[in-house]
Amino acid sequence: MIYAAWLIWAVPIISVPFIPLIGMVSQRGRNWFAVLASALTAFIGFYLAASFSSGMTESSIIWLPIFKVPVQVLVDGTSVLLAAFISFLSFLIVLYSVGYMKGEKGQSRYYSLILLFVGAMLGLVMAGNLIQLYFFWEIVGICSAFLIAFWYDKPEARRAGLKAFVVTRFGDIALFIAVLIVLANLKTTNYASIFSAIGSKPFGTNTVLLVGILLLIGAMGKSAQVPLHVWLPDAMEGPTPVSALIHAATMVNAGVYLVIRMFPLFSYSSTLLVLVTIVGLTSMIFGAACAVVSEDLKRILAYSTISQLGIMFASIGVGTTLGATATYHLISQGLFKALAFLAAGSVITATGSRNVEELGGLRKSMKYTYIGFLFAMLAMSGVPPLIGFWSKDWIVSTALTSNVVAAILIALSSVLTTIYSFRALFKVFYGKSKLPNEPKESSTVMIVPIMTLVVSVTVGWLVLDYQRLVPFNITIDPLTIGMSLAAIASGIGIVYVAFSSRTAQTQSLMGRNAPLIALRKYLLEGLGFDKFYGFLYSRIVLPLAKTSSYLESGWLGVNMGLMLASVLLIIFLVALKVI
Amino acid sequence: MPSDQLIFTVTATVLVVIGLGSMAYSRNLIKTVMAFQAIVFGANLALFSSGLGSYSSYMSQTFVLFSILVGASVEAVALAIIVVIHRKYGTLNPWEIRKLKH
Repeated sequence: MIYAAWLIWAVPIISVPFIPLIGMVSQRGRNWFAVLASALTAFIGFYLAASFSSGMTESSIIWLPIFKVPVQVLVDGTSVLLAAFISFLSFLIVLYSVGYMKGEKGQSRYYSLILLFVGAMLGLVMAGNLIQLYFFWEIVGICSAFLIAFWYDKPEARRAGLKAFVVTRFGDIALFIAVLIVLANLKTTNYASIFSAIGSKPFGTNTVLLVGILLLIGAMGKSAQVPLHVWLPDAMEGPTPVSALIHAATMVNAGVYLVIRMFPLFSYSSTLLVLVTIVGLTSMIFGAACAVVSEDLKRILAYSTISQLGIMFASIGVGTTLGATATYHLISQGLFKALAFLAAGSVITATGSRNVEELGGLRKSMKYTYIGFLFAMLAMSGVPPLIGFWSKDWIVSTALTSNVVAAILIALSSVLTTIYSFRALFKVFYGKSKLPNEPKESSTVMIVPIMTLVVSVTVGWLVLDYQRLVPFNITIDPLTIGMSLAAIASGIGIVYVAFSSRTAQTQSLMGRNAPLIALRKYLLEGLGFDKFYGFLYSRIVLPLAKTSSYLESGWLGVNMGLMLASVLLIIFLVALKVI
Repeated sequence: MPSDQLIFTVTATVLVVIGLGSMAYSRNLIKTVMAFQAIVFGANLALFSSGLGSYSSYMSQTFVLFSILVGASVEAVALAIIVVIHRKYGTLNPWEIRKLKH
């Protein structure tokens, strides 16, 4: 059983170099080899989940004995459940890629990066200490940047990849400092040792608070929480299966996983939990508001991911269920968001457009895609008995018992969730077609993953109820059900009136009402975060860079002279015992 | 009587300073590479002396061996670049080459 915990991340990583090698012989063979590798990973994931009994097992290999850094896997309920979930979802997405990426250039690069991405994420989930987690964290980050910039001949794609890399870097640095602080204080980064040391002498309240804040910043960068979210909407420049992978299985879940994993540390201080809640609630409302106005189908989904991840953070911060609600919502969000992205990708391949205003009436011509998108949107709004209903309503009911404000805010945000979900659904699949010619349904290899996810979204909650890896004892208050049903009904009502039956009136209202126009423009710009960062860059970073470039004269002698002068200065200062 | 470690460290510092100085002063790229080697050896000596007398001395010695290997390959590449530079510009004086660019 313990071998499976090693194999699950070793298999995709080991198969990475074989992808270009097989690609030299046969293109088809390479694609199906990637599918096979991910299928094997998913199989190992299910085997791991089936053979796991209970408790927590660690297995480690000593690596660099002089620094006492072991390579370690941690097998417990959360890591096994998430590993099985991630490997299953990545298998479906790789299978879908075979259809989506047909005829693209650079597929060897694509499949090797995807497998490395998945392997690194599985390694991150199974990691037994913070150093190893950080190592895989960085691989996940670099893979996502490369995959977002996959079509590197498009300037927007290059820019988006660079942006993802730079913005997540802020979080990564914070995480790195946190790991170093833990290492300096405890001489180990093993999770169990960290948790047992919390509160005692070298790891007192202030250190815990500092480490917690740094870990939270790291998680915010990876999970695209306000204000480090700006990379996620732009990350839509990558191929759609990559977006599905980033949003559902790998990249953004890493931050949430970090907070769930370090929950004993966060729960030690109530300040930390309040911070987590505030970050989560802010992102939840921000993401939902931006998703309502966005016109790009994939950007709507991106903002909705920010919002859903915000709900996860808030549910961790509310802190009554040791992060189990967040784990449940992570899986549920992963399933319906992957479904939404795969269906959106199917629409994009068929029509070549991402703008919801240009699409319409696809319900008849693309039946299976329509069913997929419909189920994704129903689950996202939390319509019973789909999986989104259980996860969201469980979060609201647990929040009701401890933090009523958070519960009410989450319930209110589900009105916005319903509005943006059904707005996208109505605009793309209902109404009159605005396309010049009838789009064709996508190929079978793309439909099979979509249909599998439709089934998963529908019956996933039964599976999650049956499994005993993380015992979810879902208790839902009747009050919550009433609240969420009212939210869904009002959301659908608003969308129907505004975007479906009275489009003309809505448009004329929007055309006349100046505050609404301003609000819409402001939301379309993502509340001006991009502008603000651009301003900071042009006012602070660029002048600093220009100033320091004077030191770099280009004359070898001058540069070396300056270096010599500084070395002599340091020696002088050391001799004087100043430093 | 100063300890071995102190002697090594001082020698290393002197080597680095001399290397930097001659790199700044040199008007011939081959001499620049020689000065660069002096800096590298100074650094190697400092690394070697840092491990003296502790249980991890074999660690620093191993890394010095690696560093010598890397230094040799860097020197080979640098000399190859110098050959190309001489073919292209006909001079090895970095100040002259810099002037030719403008």
